[in-house]
Amino acid sequence: MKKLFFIISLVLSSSLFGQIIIDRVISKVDLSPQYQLYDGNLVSLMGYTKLIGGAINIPAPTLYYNEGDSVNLKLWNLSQNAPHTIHLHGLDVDQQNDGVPSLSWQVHHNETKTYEFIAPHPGTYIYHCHVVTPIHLQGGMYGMLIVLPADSSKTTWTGGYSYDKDYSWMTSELDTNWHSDTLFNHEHDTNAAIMIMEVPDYEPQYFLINGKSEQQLNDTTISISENTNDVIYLRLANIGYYGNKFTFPSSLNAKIISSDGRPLPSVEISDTLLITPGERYGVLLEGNTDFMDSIQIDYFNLNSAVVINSQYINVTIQNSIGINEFNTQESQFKLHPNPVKEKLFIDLKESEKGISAYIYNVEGAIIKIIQNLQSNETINFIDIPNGIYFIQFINQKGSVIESQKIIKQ
Amino acid sequence: MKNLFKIFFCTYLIVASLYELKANTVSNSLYIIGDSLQTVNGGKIPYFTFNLNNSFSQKNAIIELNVGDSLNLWVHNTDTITHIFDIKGIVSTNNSILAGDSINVLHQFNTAGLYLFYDATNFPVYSYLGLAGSIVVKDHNHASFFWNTKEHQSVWNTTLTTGGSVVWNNYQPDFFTINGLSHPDIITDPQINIVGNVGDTILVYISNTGRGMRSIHFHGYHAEIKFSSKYPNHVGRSKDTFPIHSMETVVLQIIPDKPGEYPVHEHNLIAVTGNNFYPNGMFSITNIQP
Repeated sequence: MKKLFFIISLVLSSSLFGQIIIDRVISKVDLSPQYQLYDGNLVSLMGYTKLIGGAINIPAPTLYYNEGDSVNLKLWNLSQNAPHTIHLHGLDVDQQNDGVPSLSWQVHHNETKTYEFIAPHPGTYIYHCHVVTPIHLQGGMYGMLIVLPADSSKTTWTGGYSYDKDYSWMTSELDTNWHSDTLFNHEHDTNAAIMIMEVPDYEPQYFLINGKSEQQLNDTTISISENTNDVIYLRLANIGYYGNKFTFPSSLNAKIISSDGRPLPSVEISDTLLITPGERYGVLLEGNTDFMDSIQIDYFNLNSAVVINSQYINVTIQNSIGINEFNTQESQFKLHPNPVKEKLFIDLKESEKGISAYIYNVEGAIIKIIQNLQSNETINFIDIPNGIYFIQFINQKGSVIESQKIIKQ
Repeated sequence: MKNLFKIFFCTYLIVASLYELKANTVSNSLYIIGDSLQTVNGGKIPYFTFNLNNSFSQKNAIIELNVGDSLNLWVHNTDTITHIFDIKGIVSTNNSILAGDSINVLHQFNTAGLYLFYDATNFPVYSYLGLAGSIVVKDHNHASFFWNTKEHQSVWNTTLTTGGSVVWNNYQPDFFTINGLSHPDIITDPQINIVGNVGDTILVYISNTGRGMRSIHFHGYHAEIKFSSKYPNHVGRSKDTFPIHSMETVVLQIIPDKPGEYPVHEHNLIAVTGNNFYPNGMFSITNIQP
């Protein structure tokens, strides 16, 4: 009977109050440049990995917990030199587990220490090293920490908004002058509460989202490709030393719903959002029509307010009816390739000559008209922006014979 | 019925008299004084402040009022050039204060918050050079802390005070201060270092009189925005990191739920340096007792 009571208690406690989670990250330094930037340049990194042999990435692996979990997060320092910590940014943990070396403990080479905390409000948080923070953070020692609702449901928080898909973007910058052996191997006094360190001027050359920029942002984990009317939950965190201004396409109907791990008292409907270093935001996006566009992220110098760089993340929202479903097998006109990059070929029967083709964008504007289609007609798409288009075939009497959907990539 | 009227009338008189007691006319004087700011590395850069008396302090004046108070303020210009005195969004004197002259400003503050006074002369030059302080208007008696954040590109202070010009788009400050101090001196300033007990209601008044934008991060506790000069719609938000635009203010309320010592610092980590040395910038520590 006692056993049964114990088991029932255990089941109840784990479902109501979260689970005990044992997790581990390893702090490491790669002095040989291995991390590839968008232009092929390689830089060395400091960072956290999950596996001993794992390559360091920026950001570090995202840590996921459920609301109410009792987390034991171990830090094993294999960096050879300076001590490291984990600051659980925004989790409001107690002093001992706050990861500030002068007020708690630090983890020296080949030591393992454990941070203990209860995962609080569902939301987006950050973990990063707090030893000589400007150097270690710029080196790459940062990652996202996401607290999901206790039931792991696709809701922003218990009783919050439901969503279909979530994306997590962590912004930062990278100054290659800071990624040097001299800085990464900086002196450290194990007895000093706070290490006083000289740092270089900060003049970043790379502006990152999840450690990537420019064409690397086409990565399917970053660029958004969803169905019309799907609700997207975008988690944003800025861990750089610049400000970010996000500009969302108006067709995404952006709603800012949370910040720093707490729901906002009132939803803010806005196509722009400023995020300063250390802040996090939750944004709901929902495209109600088919379109292709991009989210613009401006990186501005916080001292001068001058925008130094802009990055763009592609957004494709299309009806869940794909090309194949929209362009039925009964089509009289065979279009290929579709999606198209440069030239679209139209296979036409001899009897269908004299037909015109009108190409429209999703807003209904005519992009091209081709009169008197020839057999094996070719339409040049090089000068047409990426996006979704419709082609209408019209006979000599002006009647629409058929419509098809085209995607320009 | 008559008795009921008497009771209402007496209550009205009592409340009105209490209000009269609370709503005072507060007289203050500000002195515009030019001298120099001692930076964290021991150097000195040309600097101006509004001081509460006629001797220079590198900490700008902070005037405390209660809601409903009228401020009767004399501003004395002890400098050798003309200055202008404005209270942002409230009083625009557009009146120059000639060298050695004074002006009087009278204004009743009916809304709790944090307001900036500054020198509008050749804006932002003299505000940048130090002439910007704050007026705290309270509607409570809780423990309160006052931060005036600011940054400097030290060579520009010399350039600007010797008649030169600068390109603000190239601004790259090398010193970051709160109430004229940088870490570690910040730690000893009782107006900056937040102290209290678990369960206390603590108000932190933060103004940004620099040219840059701040992003102040609190360890240990979320704080609620009680006042925001730029974003009134942000009042009520609970956050741990707070953006503050140039020449704007916020008032934050913290109710600590646990004891401990926790940093409060800029999360633009370049602002936690001084003359390129970490952590000689905006870095403070909150100390909460059980």
